[in-house]
Amino acid sequence: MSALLSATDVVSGYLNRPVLHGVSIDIAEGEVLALIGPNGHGKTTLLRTLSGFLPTRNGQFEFAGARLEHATVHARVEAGLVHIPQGDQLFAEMSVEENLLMGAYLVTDAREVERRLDQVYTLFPRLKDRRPQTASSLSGGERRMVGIGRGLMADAKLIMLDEPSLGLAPLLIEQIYDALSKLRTEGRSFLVVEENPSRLMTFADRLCLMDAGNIIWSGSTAEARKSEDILKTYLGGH
Amino acid sequence: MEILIQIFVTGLTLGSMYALAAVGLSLIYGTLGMFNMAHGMFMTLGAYAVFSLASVFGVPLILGVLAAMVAGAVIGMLTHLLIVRFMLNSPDFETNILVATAGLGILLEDLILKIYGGYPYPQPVKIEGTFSVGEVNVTYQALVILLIAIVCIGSVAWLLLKTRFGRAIRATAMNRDAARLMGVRTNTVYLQVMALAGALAGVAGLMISTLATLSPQMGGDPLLKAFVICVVAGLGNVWGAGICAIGLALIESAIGFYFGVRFGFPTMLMLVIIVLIWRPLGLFGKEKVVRL
Repeated sequence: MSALLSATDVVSGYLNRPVLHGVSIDIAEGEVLALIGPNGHGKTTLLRTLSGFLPTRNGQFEFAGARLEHATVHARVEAGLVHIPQGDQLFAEMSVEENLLMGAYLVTDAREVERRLDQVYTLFPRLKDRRPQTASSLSGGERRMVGIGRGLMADAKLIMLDEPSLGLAPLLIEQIYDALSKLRTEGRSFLVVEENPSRLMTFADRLCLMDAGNIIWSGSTAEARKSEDILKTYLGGH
Repeated sequence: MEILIQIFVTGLTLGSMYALAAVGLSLIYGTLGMFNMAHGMFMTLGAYAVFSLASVFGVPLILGVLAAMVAGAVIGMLTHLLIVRFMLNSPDFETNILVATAGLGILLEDLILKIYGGYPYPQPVKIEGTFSVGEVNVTYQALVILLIAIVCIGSVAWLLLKTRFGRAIRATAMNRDAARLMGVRTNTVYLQVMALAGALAGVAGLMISTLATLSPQMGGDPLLKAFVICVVAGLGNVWGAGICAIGLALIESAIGFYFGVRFGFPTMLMLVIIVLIWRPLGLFGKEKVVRL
């Protein structure tokens, strides 16, 4: 498989506080890479750096054959890099459908937008019933569905998901991962930050363990199962 | 009955002009989070631009409206390109931009004074004549102002609610970072909003000048009223601003009729104080719901 995303020695952080100290990751087309590790050690910072919200102070970042380390957020979205952040970040006073349509903001073909909208409603039928409702009136699970659905409306080659199951009831987590698994079978690539180990072990192909702004271990989920340290310390024995 | 019609006609005419001014001001606040203290001068420039054009070429009303919109849009865009965009990400943006746009307003007023002098010129671009509603004489110009306000505000509403362009503006206003994640160029949206609000201010200025005369200070009073309307409606609430503009103008007109014109605005301000004690976020303002 060819590398869709390749980040090499990325240094980034907030103002005078560097958080990432030379992180390197690769994601192949159709691959699901999961970032694991303790809170506050740079997982979300890495996603924010890759999506362009934080400047890359050093290192290189290539995506779909183009160098993007100094590209704007807009250029990265246009290249097919979609970031679904923690906490949904919905447009609170817009309807569910308008939120989804915003996901396809850069898609100008109306028929294609309609097709994707149908696809999202098939994945999350509950959203179809809620389409005229404002996002602020939705439950936590429905908001997450809108957040993920909105990300799917874009022309995404790689979807970066930050804690998709955070704060959700087990049944909703099940529904969301069912939807993500369907997308996976279509060949989409994912970079996922997730705290839910049982989900990760079935959804991801590879894991990267982040600690203090560095990748300290990476390997396949099968390799992670063999590593007692990784299993016990970071994956709760799964 | 005649009195009521008179109050209604005056209130509606005033309200239309206030709405044109307040909707633009509110749009800027809602999207960029700034109070544009130069908004009154955007109105003045719109009026003077049409006056200059009409003095040379004798333009009809519709072209006058377009010229006012273009003049307002251009000054709005220049304000963004030369001032706002450099301050947008500064930590004290709201305060800094208040001072900067107040300074710009004073500078523009002095420039107008330097170029045109203080003479109160009449606005040549207007419709003369009256028609009767019952016993009340209504000027065609009042009708024109009402129609232009309906068309302009209706167009803005359509733009904001029904188009991809408008959705990007609303998205940026609601959540700038999320809008950027969708691929929206938020800096371009800010420029477009300044142009749109400037265009509305330009038309408002033209309409105001048709009822009074041109003067370098003519934007001051409408700016103050537009500001009050925005606060009563709830800062950044575009639809509320339009509704409050009409409501407050009707009240001002009624008070002015029964107690004298000089009591109109003070009474309006008293009502504002009562409204803000009752609803601190304004009549249409909503508290932000933060969900964790």
